[in-house]
Amino acid sequence: MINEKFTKNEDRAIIIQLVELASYSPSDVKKKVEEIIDNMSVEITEGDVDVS
Amino acid sequence: MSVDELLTIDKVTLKNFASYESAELDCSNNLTILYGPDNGSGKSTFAEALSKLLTNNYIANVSDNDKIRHGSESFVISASGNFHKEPIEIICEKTPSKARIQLTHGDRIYDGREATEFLSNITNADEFRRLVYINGTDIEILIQGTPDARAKIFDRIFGIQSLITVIDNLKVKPLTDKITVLSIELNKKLGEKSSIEKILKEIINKDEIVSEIEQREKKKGELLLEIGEIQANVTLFQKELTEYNVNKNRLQQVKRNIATLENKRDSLQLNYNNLVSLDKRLLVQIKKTIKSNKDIETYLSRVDNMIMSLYTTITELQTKDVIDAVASIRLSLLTENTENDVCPVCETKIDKAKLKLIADKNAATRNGNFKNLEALKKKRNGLIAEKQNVEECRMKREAIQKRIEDEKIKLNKVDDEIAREKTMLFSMNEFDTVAFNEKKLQMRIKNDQLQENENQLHNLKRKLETAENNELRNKTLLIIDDEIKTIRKDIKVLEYKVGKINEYREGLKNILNNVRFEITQTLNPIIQRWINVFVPPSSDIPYLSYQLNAKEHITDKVHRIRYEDTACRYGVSTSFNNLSTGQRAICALSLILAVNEIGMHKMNLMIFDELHTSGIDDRGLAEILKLLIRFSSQFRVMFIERRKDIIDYIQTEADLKNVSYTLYNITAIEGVSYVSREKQT
Repeated sequence: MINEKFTKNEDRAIIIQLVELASYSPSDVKKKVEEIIDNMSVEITEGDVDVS
Repeated sequence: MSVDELLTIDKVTLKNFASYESAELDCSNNLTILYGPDNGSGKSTFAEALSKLLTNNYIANVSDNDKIRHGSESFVISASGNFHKEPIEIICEKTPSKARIQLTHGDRIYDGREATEFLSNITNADEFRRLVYINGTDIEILIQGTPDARAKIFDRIFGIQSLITVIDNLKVKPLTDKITVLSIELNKKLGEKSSIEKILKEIINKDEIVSEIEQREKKKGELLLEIGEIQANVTLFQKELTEYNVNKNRLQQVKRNIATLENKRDSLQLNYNNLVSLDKRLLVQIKKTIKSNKDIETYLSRVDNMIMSLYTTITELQTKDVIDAVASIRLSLLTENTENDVCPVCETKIDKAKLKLIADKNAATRNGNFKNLEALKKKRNGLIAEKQNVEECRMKREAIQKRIEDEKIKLNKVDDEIAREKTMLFSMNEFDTVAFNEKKLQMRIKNDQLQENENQLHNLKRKLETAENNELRNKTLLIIDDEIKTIRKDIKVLEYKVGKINEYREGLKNILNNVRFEITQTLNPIIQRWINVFVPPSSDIPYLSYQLNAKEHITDKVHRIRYEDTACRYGVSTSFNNLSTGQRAICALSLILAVNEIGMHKMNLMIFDELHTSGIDDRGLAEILKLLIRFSSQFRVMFIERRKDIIDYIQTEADLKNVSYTLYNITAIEGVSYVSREKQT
């Protein structure tokens, strides 16, 4: 059922993680979602942090 | 699948939960009836306790703390049955914020977060829910509510509301807010960097600035000196002005005194001048007189001598006259007595004629002398008078000189007074406003010059400081570059996350809609089957086909299920809204049963809380109750009711259908709830 758009493994993993959160209580869902957002890995290149 | 194969709860025990101090409920029978005529007696409390056990949430939106009995510090919910194989117990302790949960499952104890996770894991997304709680309001919404409201009920029954909660929690606003704050910070840092670079571009000659500062300091000293002097003058003027204002009347008086004294002096001066002039004239006169005085004296002496001489002559002549007289007398005597011309005394002959001539001559001389004498006397008197006049002049002059002295003294006195008054006048001089204003203007000009100098000095010092701090600025620039890098990195990360969150939300919505679609596909035939059960083909009630379709086009806003009821027994198409209340109730119930059926192997219990409040008429309600009792052999059912007639009906129907049930009477006395078991078959 996961959208084909999420071809990256990590995206699929996160989606599965999010779906699993549906079984948590609302307050725990909020915390877990925040954790997932906080733990997202982002690649930064030199061009992204240009100081000019 | 029979009831025995279900994961069931046979017994629930409450301690200090809501209005119960302690309570026990045996729900091992297929049918459990909770009856209590009063609101707030504690009927629905069991539904809440079961909901906590099976879903880790309460039906009403309340917290664990709210469920701890008043005056207690914790509550306990325990349950046994084939649910999770072993007995389970939840202990909630009151804390100021969130209640602390401890969960015991068999021999294992879970604390806090672990306990919550254990409860959360009891149900998960692919298993739907283990407890279906339907109250009157839900039925009413299913029958009479809007499609949106109906969709919400089904979302809850299917357990996909929790997926919507996950979607709702995938919020980008906190991140976009952070991006906004960071962007502002970034612009600030870029601005700082730009201004520092601008300063660094300017080449500053430190020696020139130091020299210029020295000159400015010197000028400042000069200006301060000048200002000090002017200030002293101004202060003096101010003092004078103060005194002037105080002594203004006194000054006028002194001026008047001086004017009076000067008039007096003028008068005295005039007198004095007149007297001096008179004295001069007298002096001239006296001098002139004195000059001839010696002549007068001589002349007077001579006159005196002449007078004396004349007196002598006259005396002599008088003596002679006496003699002559005697001679004459004698002669006469002689003549008379004798005719002789002899002197009877001296017997000298007497020449009478001669005697007479002599006598006459003497008389003439004497007369002449007398005349001379008189003239001399007159002359002498004139001389004496003149002399006296001189004396008088002298005396007069002396008097005048004395008066002159007096006048001079007076004059000096007046002069002294005038001098004194003038001294006072000087000390009380008229206030010179023009000069004062001039000084003030000078002061202002100098102060302006000083200020200008100060400004220049300040700028120069800043420039000097800039020159000295440029090294520091270079270091600061490096720090700012690092900060800019960090901010840009943070923004990039946040932007990436925002993008991803949006993608995930879209993905989850797709999943949600797919789940709905799957549910409806599965549900439709089951719903139809249940409707066939309720409404046999031989009945006059129209055959209803109830379809539940997910919308094919998925958009952000669409997350509801659309219901379509398309057919009736006679092939006449009609909409759900055109059905009667009873027909709708059958449709709704069919749906619920269908939901239960597809999740049958997972569900433990269906709770129907006060169905009579659903708006269904009593006939319709009786039909529904009858059906529910009929099918309680396939799932466990709990009725919560306050109407005695409905309870009686359920009992009768249960007995008729040989359904074992447990009836509990629930009462509340002074806020405390009690449970009593009435009957068990």
